[in-house]
Amino acid sequence: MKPKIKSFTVLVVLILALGACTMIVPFAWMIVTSLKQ
Amino acid sequence: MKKKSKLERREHTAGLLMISPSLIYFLVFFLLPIGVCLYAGFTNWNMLSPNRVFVGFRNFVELFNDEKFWKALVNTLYMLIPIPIYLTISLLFAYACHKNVPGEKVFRTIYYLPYISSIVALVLIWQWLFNSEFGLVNNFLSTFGIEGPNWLNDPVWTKRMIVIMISWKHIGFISIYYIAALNSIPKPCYEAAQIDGASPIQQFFRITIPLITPTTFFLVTMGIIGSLQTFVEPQLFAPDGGRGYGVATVIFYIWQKAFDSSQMGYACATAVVFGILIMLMTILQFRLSKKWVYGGE
Amino acid sequence: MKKKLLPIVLCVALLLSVFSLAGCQKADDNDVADGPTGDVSDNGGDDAGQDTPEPVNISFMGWGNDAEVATFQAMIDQYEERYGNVEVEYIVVPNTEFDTKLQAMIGAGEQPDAFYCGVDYLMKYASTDNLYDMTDYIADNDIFDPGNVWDCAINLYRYDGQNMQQGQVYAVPKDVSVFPIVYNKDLFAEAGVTPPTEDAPWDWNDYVAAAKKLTSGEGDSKIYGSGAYSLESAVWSNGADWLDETLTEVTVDDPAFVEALQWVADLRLVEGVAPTVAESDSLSDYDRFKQGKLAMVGSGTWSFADFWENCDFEWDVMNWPVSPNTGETAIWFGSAGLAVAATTEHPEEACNLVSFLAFNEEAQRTSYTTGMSFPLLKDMAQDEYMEMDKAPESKDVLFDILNDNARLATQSKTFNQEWFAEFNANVPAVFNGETTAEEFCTSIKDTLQELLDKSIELKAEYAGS
Repeated sequence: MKPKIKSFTVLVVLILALGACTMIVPFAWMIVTSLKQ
Repeated sequence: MKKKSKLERREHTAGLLMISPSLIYFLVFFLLPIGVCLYAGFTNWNMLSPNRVFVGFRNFVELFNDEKFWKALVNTLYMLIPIPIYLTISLLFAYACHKNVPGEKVFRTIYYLPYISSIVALVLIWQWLFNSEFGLVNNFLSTFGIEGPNWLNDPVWTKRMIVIMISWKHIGFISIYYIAALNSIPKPCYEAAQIDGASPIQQFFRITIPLITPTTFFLVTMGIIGSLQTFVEPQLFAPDGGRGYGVATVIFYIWQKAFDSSQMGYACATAVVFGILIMLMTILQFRLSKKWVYGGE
Repeated sequence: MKKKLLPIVLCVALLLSVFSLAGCQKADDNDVADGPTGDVSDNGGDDAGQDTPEPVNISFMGWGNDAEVATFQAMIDQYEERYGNVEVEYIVVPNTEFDTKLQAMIGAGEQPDAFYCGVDYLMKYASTDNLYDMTDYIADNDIFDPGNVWDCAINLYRYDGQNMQQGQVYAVPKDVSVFPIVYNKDLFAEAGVTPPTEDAPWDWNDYVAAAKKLTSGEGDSKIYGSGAYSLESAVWSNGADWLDETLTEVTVDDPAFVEALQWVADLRLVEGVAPTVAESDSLSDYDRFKQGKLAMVGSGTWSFADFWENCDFEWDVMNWPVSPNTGETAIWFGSAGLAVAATTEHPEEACNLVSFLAFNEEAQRTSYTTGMSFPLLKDMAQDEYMEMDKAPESKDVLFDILNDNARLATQSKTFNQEWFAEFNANVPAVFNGETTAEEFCTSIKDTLQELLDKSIELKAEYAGS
């Protein structure tokens, strides 16, 4: 029986994704700015 | 005198030989330098000159009278702030992973990246991110109408920025410890609680957290020892110690005295004093552990 | 009893063996560094009298960006060609770590034979007997003629045990840099400002008036007339200084000093012709100038290469304005030197190397044509350099500064620079308008005096060797 996807889980995943962005954003931004030049 | 059998003696010798590499390592790379440092703290050793004169407690007296040292000490205590921050966030993250949230493995990898990145590269990136006019952070804040502060040059904000950076860096790494700890809690505990009608939140606070206190204790103790020695970030962000010496930490102060001012003896004295301080704090940790650590000594 | 004795004995034995091994290693290292010639005392004599010189290895340590390192490597190759028997090991260390690394090497007895020596550090190293006395070598060598080198440059590296700029020579200058005001000719033309000339110099009031004319715009298109003004120039032109002549007393509360400091701060705070501290923090005045958003900035001859490449406007140099109170002007000048270790086993080769690197004509030519520095050799400066068909046009300004107005920075003349670092760490409060120059100078004078006294004490302690 496939478990239902709880809305709470979705919330948690979103928050984690936000966190992951903060982990990556510095690197990504650096790459972007150096490419712009 | 007991007569020793040949076998006994052979076992002793074998044992000693096996631990001798570690023993030598410990003696040469730890005890010896500490001994030299302790001795040097009582001299006026300067790297450049062969003169080395015993000056008694002069260095220590000077140290206690130096305003910069006390400022640095306050700044160093400020560096303890990341500990509760990253412990909390790591625990929450570890808990989510423990509950097998979708994408767990991917998240764990991503969160781990900052810890393994070169610190110099990170500092360079952060200097650009937090640039008060052109940086991403202040631009982002201004879309909400908030005027971003001068992160890089106002020592108050530089310290906060360093705290953010250290917390950010440690999350992924610390969560590994917590995931392991969470995995080691026996399932029957939760089941028993559930049967008694405990809600997930109650379970978290009454079962999970208490049972992982040994890990928390370890992380807090190691965290304190490590955070008090913060040096690289202040040195890279504020090579002169920041305005009004507002960013310098004790290790930075020691480094400055040892290499900028060539006062190696004085620096050693400072190192000894600070080392004792850290040791006292650690002993305090262990004493207190009985109160709150599950199965603590 | 016996049970406890054995482990203790073994530990001691282990310790002893470790120490004797460590001792062996050091001796081995020294033997290797000696080279085939072995005996130290023979070297000088051997080289003079031999027909086939023995191979010699010397080490040379320096810093620099890629361009500088490449230039030096090329010069070292030339040196090795000329002195076939010498092999040079070139060690490059980042600028910020250089002093630390050098001190660590000296402490371990492994200092390089030749190395960069910033003028700020000369006293420190010379007074602790770490630098080779080059006076005799300079007077009598076959690489350069001391008369052809700017006196002020060689004098920078003199030290007589008490003071700098007199006494024996402990290093040779590898470059000398002049620090004029660089200005944007296009902006000047637009605003209708005529630059000063030698006969019609500006004073501070003229400078402010010009800066006001040159300041325009708002927000992103704001153009500033002036960058941060050199505090040294303002203070010295006004007849004041951080320390008194004997270098024992802090004189920052001298009214002339306070006036100069306040004037520099007011350029930002009152006249609004220079960027605020926060603005300079986020985009340096130097970068702002390159972008054409700042008309006048103090910058050194080392930046010419950068300007040639990155400025899409015409620029030139001018001398620093005189103080209206004294009619005089002054500015600091900088230099980095090359020194030889006192304990080197190959003094002749090392001295030859540093002189070659410092004064060799090809090297000097490469250096100024690539816009890195100002020629050290007088004749080259006066002929070739003047003819060079690149900005700045008013090269005579550079000569004037070097001949008349350039001074060694005060903090370079003291044993350590802690007092100056303290001043600099706290002076932004004046530039921010948080405190007035007068309040600041009065309140910080005692702290600076303490640090200065400490550095004098240290000098006495260490120089006593």
